[in-house]
Amino acid sequence: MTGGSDALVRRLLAAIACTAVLCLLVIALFIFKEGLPFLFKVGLGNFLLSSDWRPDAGKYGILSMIASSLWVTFGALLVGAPLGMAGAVFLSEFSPTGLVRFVKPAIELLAGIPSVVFGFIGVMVLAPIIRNAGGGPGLSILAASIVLGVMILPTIMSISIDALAAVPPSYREGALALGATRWQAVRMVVLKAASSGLVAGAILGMGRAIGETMAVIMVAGNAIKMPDSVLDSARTLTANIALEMGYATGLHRQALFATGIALLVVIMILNGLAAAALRRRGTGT
Amino acid sequence: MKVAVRGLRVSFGGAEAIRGITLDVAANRVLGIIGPAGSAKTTFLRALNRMNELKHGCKTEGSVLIDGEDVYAPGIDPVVLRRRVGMVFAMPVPLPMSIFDNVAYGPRLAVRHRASPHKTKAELDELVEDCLRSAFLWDEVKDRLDTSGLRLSGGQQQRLCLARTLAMRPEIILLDEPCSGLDPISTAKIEEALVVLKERYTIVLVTNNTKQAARASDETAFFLMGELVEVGATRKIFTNPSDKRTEDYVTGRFG
Amino acid sequence: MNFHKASQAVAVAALAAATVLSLAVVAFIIVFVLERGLPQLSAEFLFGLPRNMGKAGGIFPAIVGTFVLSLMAIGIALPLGVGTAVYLSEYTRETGLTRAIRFGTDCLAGIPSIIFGLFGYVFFVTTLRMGWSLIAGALTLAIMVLPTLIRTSEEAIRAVPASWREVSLSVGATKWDTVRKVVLPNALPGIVTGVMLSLGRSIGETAAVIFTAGSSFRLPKGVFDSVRTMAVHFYILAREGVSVEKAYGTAAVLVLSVLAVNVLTYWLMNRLIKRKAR
Repeated sequence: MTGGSDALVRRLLAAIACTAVLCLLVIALFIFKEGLPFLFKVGLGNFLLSSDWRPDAGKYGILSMIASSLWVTFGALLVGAPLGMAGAVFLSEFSPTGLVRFVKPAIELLAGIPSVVFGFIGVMVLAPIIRNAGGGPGLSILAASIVLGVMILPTIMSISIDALAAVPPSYREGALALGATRWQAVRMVVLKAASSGLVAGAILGMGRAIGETMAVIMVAGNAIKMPDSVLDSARTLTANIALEMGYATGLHRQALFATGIALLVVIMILNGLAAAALRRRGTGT
Repeated sequence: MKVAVRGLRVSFGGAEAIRGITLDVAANRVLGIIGPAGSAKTTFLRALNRMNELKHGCKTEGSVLIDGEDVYAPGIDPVVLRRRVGMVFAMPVPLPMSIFDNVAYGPRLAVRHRASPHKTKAELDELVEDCLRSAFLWDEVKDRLDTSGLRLSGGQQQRLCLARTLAMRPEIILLDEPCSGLDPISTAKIEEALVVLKERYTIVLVTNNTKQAARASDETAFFLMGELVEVGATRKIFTNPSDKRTEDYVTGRFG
Repeated sequence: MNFHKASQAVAVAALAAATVLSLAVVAFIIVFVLERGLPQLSAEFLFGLPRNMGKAGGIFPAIVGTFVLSLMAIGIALPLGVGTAVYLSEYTRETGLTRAIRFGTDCLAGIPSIIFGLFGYVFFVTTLRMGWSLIAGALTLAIMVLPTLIRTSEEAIRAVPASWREVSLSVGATKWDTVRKVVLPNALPGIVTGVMLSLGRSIGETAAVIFTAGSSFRLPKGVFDSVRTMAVHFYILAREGVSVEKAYGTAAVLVLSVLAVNVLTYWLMNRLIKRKAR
């Protein structure tokens, strides 16, 4: 009997390995198949640059939703990045070693909580507070930013922790040997050295925030208008897709797929930027 | 001649490691291979059981004939070859399983591939015991055959690796510096085992320790920088070598 | 020098406060949900069928739907994920194909769940005519968790020492034998982690599920039946204000499930690691 069927196994496994790429191609194919004809019919300018979204009247401008997504995403970054990075710096540089073993599971738990639960808490707890303190409907960009910020916190924190851990100890030791306090060493040397990793974490956090749907639907208010203030109700790109998909037909439905394309493009760009930042990390400052 | 190597050249990614070696290995004898680090002794050994080709970019030319058949011929399956040519590595590497399963690993797979007839449990037990005895390990582990091989001491682990190799009933056993890092008692046990084993097997032993070669091998080959400098009866190599480089090495002037 | 020491103290205090705040948020969420939701968890709630459009009765079909859907998705994705990981680490070196596979996997990992929902709807539900069904939902979820499984499996497989593979091959084992008997059994802890991560994600997933598995609140009888998962049910309850108490109850079950998956992961990891060291 022969030694083996390794060649056969290899071919089979190669085929299996292509599944992921295949799925990606099929997904891209179908999303574009449904969305591209719309773009040709209505025109990219009318789609991206108009804030007039009234499908009944044949108007498909998503500018207000683009703006809303951007406001909400940057808001989330303002909430999630400082908390995530501060936590990461504290855990990596200043905390007693036992603490990480206790904090890590807690943050993993946070990462595992379903987005609908976050949204619900936002509605029941945050929105009333915002309504009472600042006026407006409560269900607002501010509420969405806070909720999303908390949701992307684990991502940013864990990537930041990795980025800080990758800084060689000699950097810290060198600074300390020159008489710096630990905080000065961190501020002037470590953070700079880890900066591309930290940036990558922030960018990836942004990518997740911009793609989030359920929580945003529940707390952002979903009004179709250009936002003026953080207390405004707003509808993001993702919310629009999810809310109208249930009953959209024909050109309207294609418009939603085109929105999906826009979303995908933005996220791919963000992921590419993050990957580039992570690659730069190896080359140091 | 059990093994006849003719014009063997091995290169990795263009860099030549073995520059043309022609060497015979007699059956049921121990051939010791000595030489300084970087002489490609290990590469030569691994050319005999086609383990070099596991490294990407390896090119092998020439022929290695075992019982007159070139093992590098196109139709030959390396997997089958490795059942005939066993290897003990420099670092003791027990597999993460029980002592019994370690020794039985190869035979069980051979049965599965129908390379050997089915073994009953009793036959397998007998085989494992026989191999552990031949490796001078049986007495120390007979009561704990199902404990993990990782729990043994270094010397015991290496003897376990020897037993594991013997379980395949190979024709040729290759040992790559098997005693480096082992205490003298374990080393002595392994050398003792080799003396007995050569009655049934053909053995090629690579060693950095010239004294071990002097003790354990019938014939000795001296490698230098990927070339065979000299080969002959061990006594001659160590007392009256023909090549000056050999003499310098065995007397310790370099190495 | 006093100034520097002082400013360090302030900085560290601020950092510590941020960390505590993050932990406080986690604690708050869990306490908030459980405090209001645990009282709802009666045997009837967990095992009973819904009555009156979900205003009364239990959520048993949703619980069943959630776990059947998640396990199906993982069942589909796991062989594909482990197979891909085995191929990438054992059977090939870095080539154009492997780079393409990794790129594809990374891209897939970045796609937001609403897009998966869109795709699943247009491909599985409509084009392949599966309708809103368990199978459409499971296939969609499977693609979503595939990148995670590939990544964690590959990490786990690469952690297995190369010397073990070498030894296995030297006694006449084929590569596939080595994978089956040496590599995979020892990569199991890492693979299990990936499975648990995927399970947790599937339990909470809403956007992709609602457009593919639908929201039928009946117990599924076959793979072409629509199901409602707990997350979807919770969303419906919350949006339509049907019953706040039932919503909290469902949320509590969701949070407890995530907690259980996390705890189970740590426990399994400890068990598996201890067993290897024996």
